[in-house]
Amino acid sequence: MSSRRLQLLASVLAAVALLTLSGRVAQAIEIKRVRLGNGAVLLVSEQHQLPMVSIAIAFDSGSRRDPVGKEGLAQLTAASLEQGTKQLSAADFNRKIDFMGSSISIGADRDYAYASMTSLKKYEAETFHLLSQALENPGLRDSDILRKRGEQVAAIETSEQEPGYAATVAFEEQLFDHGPYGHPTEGFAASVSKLTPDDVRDFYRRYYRMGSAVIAVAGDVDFKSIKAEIEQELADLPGAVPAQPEPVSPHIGTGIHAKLIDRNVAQANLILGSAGIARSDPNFYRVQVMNYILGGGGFSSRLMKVVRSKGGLAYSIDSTFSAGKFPGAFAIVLQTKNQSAQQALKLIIEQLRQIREQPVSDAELDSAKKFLIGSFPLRLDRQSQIVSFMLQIELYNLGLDYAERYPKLIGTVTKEDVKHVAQKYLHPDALDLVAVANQSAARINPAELVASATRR
Amino acid sequence: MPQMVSATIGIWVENGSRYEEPSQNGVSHFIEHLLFKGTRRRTAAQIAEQIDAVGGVLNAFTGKEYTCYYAKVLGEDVKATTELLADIFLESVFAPEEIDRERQVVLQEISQAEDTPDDFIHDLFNLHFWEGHPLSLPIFGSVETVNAIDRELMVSFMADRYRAERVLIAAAGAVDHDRLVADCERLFGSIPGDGRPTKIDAPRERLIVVNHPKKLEQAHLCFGAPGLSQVAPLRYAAYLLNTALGGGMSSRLFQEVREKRGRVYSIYSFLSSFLDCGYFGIYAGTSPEWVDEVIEVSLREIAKVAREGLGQQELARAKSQLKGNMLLGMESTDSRMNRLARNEIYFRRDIPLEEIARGIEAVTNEQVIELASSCFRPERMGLVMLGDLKGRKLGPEVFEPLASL
Repeated sequence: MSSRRLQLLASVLAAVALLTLSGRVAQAIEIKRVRLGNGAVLLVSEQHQLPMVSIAIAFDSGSRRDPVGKEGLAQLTAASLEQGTKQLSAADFNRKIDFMGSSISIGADRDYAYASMTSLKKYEAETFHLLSQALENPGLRDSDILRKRGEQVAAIETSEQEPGYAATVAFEEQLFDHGPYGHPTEGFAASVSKLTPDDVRDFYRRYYRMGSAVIAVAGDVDFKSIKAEIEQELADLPGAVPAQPEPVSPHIGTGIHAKLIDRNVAQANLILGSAGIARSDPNFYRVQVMNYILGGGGFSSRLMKVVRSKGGLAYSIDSTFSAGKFPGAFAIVLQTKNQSAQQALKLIIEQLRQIREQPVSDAELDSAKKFLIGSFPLRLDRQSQIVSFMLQIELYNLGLDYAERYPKLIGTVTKEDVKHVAQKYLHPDALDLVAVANQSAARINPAELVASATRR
Repeated sequence: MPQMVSATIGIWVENGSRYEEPSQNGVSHFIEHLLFKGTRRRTAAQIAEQIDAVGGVLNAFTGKEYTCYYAKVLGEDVKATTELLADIFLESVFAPEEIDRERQVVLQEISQAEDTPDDFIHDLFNLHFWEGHPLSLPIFGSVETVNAIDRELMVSFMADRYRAERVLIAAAGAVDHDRLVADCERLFGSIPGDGRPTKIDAPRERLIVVNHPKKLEQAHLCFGAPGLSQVAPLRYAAYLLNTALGGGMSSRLFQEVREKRGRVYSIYSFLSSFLDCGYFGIYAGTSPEWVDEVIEVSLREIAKVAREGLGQQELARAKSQLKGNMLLGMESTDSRMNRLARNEIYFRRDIPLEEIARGIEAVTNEQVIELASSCFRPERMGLVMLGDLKGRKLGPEVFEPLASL
């Protein structure tokens, strides 16, 4: 669709904007945007191929809002909201949902909490009514909250048994200290077990506000009627949540800051990394390309080639920049035999050095771009994916022309850009390392790793 | 599906760990790995690069009765991707150095699975419940068998099993049917025929209670009863029994054990079904001190269903839930491709959704009772516990709540 047409439609629909996905997508995805009377932004993509509807609402109530000492509160609040309404017990609420074959889920991630539903078209109104009631008129009974609290603690204790989980928690604690990203969304067993029903009800009243919410709808709906329906159902929860100040970005001095956790495990679970970037960082797309070449690109990535394919040392290894509202982590995650931990770490550090010092090849740059651009439409295959794509556009200010601009944002990255961001964000001589391993077998030697990082 | 942008193509082989000798256990899965490691025309890197260049997904999975190699790409890339799939399927070279390297990778995969108790318990249950039968063997194999697999075994095993009669190609989404058929004729037409799976016997179930002590915070339980095969006439009743018992947030086990008593952080029931047999399983993750209560309460619920069946509302709800989930699950091209292939493997025909909906609708409460009371017999139950009961051992007395059946 041309931009001229775009403008024309935008004026016809007044406050409604339109977006099309261009490039290799045969059929455009059209998105309409409007701000509702209650302050929430509504995005709608009509998808008439299948008689079903997906809706998601993002609230500014992710775990980054957890007060220190009350880690896990955002998650417990979201889980408690699923426990029925003032009129309906949790069991009756679930029965009604199951009867329609619909699903409703409310959960938190580190930036936002999401309330979402999927249903057949014929049950859309009834399912959305239940979801709205859970949000506006929730039961939040002591007994339900305490039961969910018990489950959350048990789930954390179970996860802690998994070496990969323990490593991730330790890594984030070490990197972000008590910052908004310094704890897992589900909290710690010790912090969650102290949360009270009043904590949950306060958190709900404070952060579940439509004025800072975003609603996305994809499916077999008509824009006008779904808008009217949403305005009628979600008339409460006024006001907006004030913005959260950005935390001081974590700083680590040179050296390998190793946290070695001893466990009797078959595989060493290793995480190596440092501070990364926020989603709004202008270098985001350059970093995406660089990271794809380094370790994000599955079987094609350098880390996979060196550590798995050549060394046979690991089943999987990848690197990620988890860019959020605030700068997230850069992390390389792998499992390897205890005995080969040190060798794998050395190979990784060598790769960090290389991508900083030498330009990547034309072929690497080309295939990274091709993958990132080519996989974009495949990631928008389902209604639920389209819904979360629309939410991301709004929450992270990507602009309504994001899908059109994406091929260009990636396509214009140069080899110099890659080297530049590698030098800026990868620091082989200043890394946090967490290893959950059988330490006597792994014998990780941080000093030797530092030496390999600074060797010329 | 003309409105879809993506297409998923799968090349299926009716071969999996079930068709292995105990000494070969893991070879099917090992072969699956090697098919991505280089062909006469492409190196492993070139295989990965070709699929990455179109932003697609190329992957595979091995089960007990089938192996599937699949790709998900945009419609315009279907032809080139089908050629890539044909190349890895027919022309892989099995270079000895790749075998040795990949062996390490498979061994790591085995270790990782053992470090994940809520997955590992399912392997343990299989291993004990059907002990001595090929279906009891883990898909990955064991450290010993994987170490013993060599190139000769892989190549000859593959030559035996990857035969035309056992190969099936399924695709869904943005594909032109006639063109795809013509391409597949050209690309796969040379596969020699015959070689249907040899006649296989169903395992014999018996009472087992196995304690697998491991130092874990939580105790993991998997228990179950002989169930139904994929094609059993009573299968719709089994779907409903599973849904009502442990298939969602309004199910009996979820409500009774998790929501009302708060004794588990996770509980669900499942059907594990094969060509000629299956089992009805329940998984629960709990604290060691609540193990007995969780088993007892769950079995009491089961016994109640076996005696009285489901309530009228409950049966209607399970039917509606199952039909709704089925329709909502048809959204992606992956799930459609999978459904097509599994129907062909187990039924030798396409089963329209309407037929399944009718089958679900027709189930009566008497059928649910008949099924539950014939499956859950105390003398044929199995239970595996993975966790730390401080030296205490569970025995066959745990099945006492079923004694009245």
